[in-house]
Amino acid sequence: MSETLAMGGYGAYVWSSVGLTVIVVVMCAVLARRRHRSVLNDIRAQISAQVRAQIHAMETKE
Amino acid sequence: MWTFFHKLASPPHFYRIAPAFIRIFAVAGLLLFAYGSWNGLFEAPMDYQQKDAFRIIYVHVPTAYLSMMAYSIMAISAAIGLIWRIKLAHAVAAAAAPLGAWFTFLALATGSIWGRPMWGTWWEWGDPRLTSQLLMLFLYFGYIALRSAIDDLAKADKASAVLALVGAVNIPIIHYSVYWWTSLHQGQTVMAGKMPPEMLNPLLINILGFTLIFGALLLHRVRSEVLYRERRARWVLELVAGAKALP
Repeated sequence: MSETLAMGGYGAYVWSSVGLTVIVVVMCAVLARRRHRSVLNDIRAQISAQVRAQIHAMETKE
Repeated sequence: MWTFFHKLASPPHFYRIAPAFIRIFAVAGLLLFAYGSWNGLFEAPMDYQQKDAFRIIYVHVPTAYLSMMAYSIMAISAAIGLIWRIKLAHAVAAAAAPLGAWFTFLALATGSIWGRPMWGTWWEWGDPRLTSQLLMLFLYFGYIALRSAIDDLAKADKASAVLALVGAVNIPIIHYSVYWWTSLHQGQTVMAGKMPPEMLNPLLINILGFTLIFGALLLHRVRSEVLYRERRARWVLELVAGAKALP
């Protein structure tokens, strides 16, 4: 097993390449999810600001 | 057929159907990547010249291929957005850029790690393949910086599309650089049929797997981009706030 993982002395090169690739792809997925959540939060904030403005307008009219 | 594409380009429809594709692409892509990598790293025979170091190919070639694919998608979408003014096209271009930049980084990094034991150097300035690939990373950075520097979305779309199209000349340069000039980088191996099937098949599986994973990531980002662009549209407000919550 350890012989297979050693990759004939090239283990450090092979495994760092594979590891880095996996880390970056996982990070891409995390960043994509985070971006989606931040867009949703912005829209929610925009909607509550709109609602507040409408309530304010109604209250001042009365 | 055309109605399918026409419907697909409609933002609310795309937003609704994308998650199913994202899930399918991600699961299929991860399974293929796991299977291809297992076979490539453990089952495939050792290269007689490069020994086990050649196994870096199973992550290097797919990421390098996708770094160029992402640029092509970005440039073609930008062109479609400029010519036909299709909203979704600019969203695709904008979503492809950060992914392309990350895959370019991976291609450069894994290439560098491969170069150290094989060429005796991490990096060679002036090597045409390496330099044109690095230039692509800067083109992605330039594209992203230009977009974020312009507040007006329509103007940002147009200006960044022009940059993407001008930078597209670099794509054939990267591809043919190993033929046109002398390079440390080895020439074509995949398409040239120089690999035995037990080495080649895991590579093809990984290329397909990475392409599906990339597709899932791209769709995910396009979806966020569509949502942001349509943030004042009625369907988005209804979707986020719940129907009938707003007049």
